[in-house]
Amino acid sequence: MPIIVNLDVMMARRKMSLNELSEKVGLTLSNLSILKTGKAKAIRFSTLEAVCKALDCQPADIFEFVEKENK
Amino acid sequence: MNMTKRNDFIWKAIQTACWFFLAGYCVQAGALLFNFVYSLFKPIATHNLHLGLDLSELFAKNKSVYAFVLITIIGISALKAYVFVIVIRLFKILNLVKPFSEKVSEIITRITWYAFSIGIISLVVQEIIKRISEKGYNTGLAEKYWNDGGAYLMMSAILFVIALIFQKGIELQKENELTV
Repeated sequence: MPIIVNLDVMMARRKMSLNELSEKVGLTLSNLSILKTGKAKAIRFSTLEAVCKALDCQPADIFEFVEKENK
Repeated sequence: MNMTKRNDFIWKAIQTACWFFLAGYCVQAGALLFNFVYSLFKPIATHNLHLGLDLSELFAKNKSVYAFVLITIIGISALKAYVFVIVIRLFKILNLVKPFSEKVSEIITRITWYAFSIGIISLVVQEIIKRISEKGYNTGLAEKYWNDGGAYLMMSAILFVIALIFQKGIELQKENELTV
């Protein structure tokens, strides 16, 4: 997928563990893991809002668009 | 999904009906198979093979046609019984909270193909028997065993649409599961 999730980078910058983020955001560890590994197909605005609030960042800090090269 | 009392009753009634149909078709196929083999040694059995089915004239006239008619009836009955085996299996694995699973979709597709096969076989046999009857062979009440071919074809068409909807449902359910 051309959308890259940089959640782990932001977590490292804020020195926040997955458990801590999970508690703050109110998401299960498995759902956070799905998001972190880029397996998620969609994200709710409410989740995005909670993640941005917990990590004190903007949505653009978490997501990045990288165009795939045409083979 | 919580089922209302009425739906729960209908659900159980359909399951019970399926068990009855399965038992009925198994008994029918078994009885016909037994009587077919028995009639080859004791032709007297051809007078009442199953629920008044009298193929004694046909047996006396041409044993090959007699065997063809009976094997067809047994085959169609066995196929119908197998369809109900699959339907009962479907009821067992169907989870109404998460109904869209690959397994359920596969079973619905399989039922579709079996229903389609029964419909086509019944119509083909109906036509063959019609032509045989025109040549003076008396097939008695045998027609009642394959005159529901059209209904099975219609059932397969409806099931095909349901199978397609299920495929879409699986996609949507997967997407929903991967939405955080």
